[in-house]
Amino acid sequence: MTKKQNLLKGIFQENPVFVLILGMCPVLGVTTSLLNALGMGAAFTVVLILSNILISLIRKLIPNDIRIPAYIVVIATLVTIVDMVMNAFTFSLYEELGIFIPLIVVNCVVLGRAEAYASKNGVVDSAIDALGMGLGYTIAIAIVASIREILGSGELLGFNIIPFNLFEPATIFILAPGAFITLGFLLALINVIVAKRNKKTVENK
Amino acid sequence: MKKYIQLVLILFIISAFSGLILGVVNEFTAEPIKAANAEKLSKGIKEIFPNIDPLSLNDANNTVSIVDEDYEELKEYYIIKDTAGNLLGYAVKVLAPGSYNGKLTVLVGINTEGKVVGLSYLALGETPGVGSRVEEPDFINYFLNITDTSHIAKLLIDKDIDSVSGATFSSTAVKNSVQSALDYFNANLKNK
Repeated sequence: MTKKQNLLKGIFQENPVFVLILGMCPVLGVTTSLLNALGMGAAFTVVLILSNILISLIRKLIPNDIRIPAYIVVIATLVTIVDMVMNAFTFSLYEELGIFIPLIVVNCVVLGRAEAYASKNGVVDSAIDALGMGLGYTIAIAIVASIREILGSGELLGFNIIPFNLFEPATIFILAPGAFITLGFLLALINVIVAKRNKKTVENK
Repeated sequence: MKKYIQLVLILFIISAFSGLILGVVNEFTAEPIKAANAEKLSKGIKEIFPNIDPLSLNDANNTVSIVDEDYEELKEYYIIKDTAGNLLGYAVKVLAPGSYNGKLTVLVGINTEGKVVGLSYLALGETPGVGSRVEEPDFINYFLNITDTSHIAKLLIDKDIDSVSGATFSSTAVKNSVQSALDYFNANLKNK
């Protein structure tokens, strides 16, 4: 696999949210506005890149029996660092994201990439893998958040974007059920596209 | 046996190293975090008491810690004075008991007559879109100019407060915070 393919697989073929369906808790929780989603995506990507690099570096030192606790300690440390840095320098975003920053520790994408990729591959490849996965995650939650923010509060990034008040925002999209509805429709749409494409490839053969 | 000692040692080394790094990062972030929290506090107080003398907040004598086992949820109160030095009231900082994620912190502004003049949230980690709606003016307005929250308890039970339907934990936590700030005021600050 080339480096470019490695990067792109996290965004398309193996998108953590839309294809692997991993790390869904923040996907449902923080996607009430696009700004929150981008903040969460950035924090998540930083943690993922650092954890993949670190774990790839120490992969040969960690005995197989204790690899999971060792990964968890590394990830928890990184998340705590991000948590403190955000608390210190991006205070309002930190308050918005609240509980979801510490919860990156138990985000299965981070542990999943450590276990499935970084523990078996070199530092550069692991960093690229993490960057791709982080971008894929960020793009996915940004899409969900944009839809929810537009339909739920009639705004995007805090700007009112409904011309002449054409429709009344439906609050349900900001609430938890709205996250499930949005995600359900998006997954259905993606599956339709993928199915069509597969059919075409089969026919061409 | 030797193998297990080795495993423990490796985990110990990783953990110790993590602790060390966190300590270093904490050195750099502790001050900005403190400054951000102080900024948030003074902003919250100014929202409740627009006429406050801004300099009076820097005076350590105007911040009083509350150590009282009957009021464990109350952390401290701030004496609010205007530029002429007149007492405007008090802002009581409450770590709301029973909030949804356990860190809802609210400032309850009480004037010298014992009426609530405003609420301001210092930390609000409630569910976005549900519990977080206790921040909306519609909800806060229920508390303005009251001296007692028992009628609000009734409104909450009857679900007559539209803006926070479904957010029983958060809204009850705020109600209880206001009541305990009022109780403390009536018991300790009223005739000062």
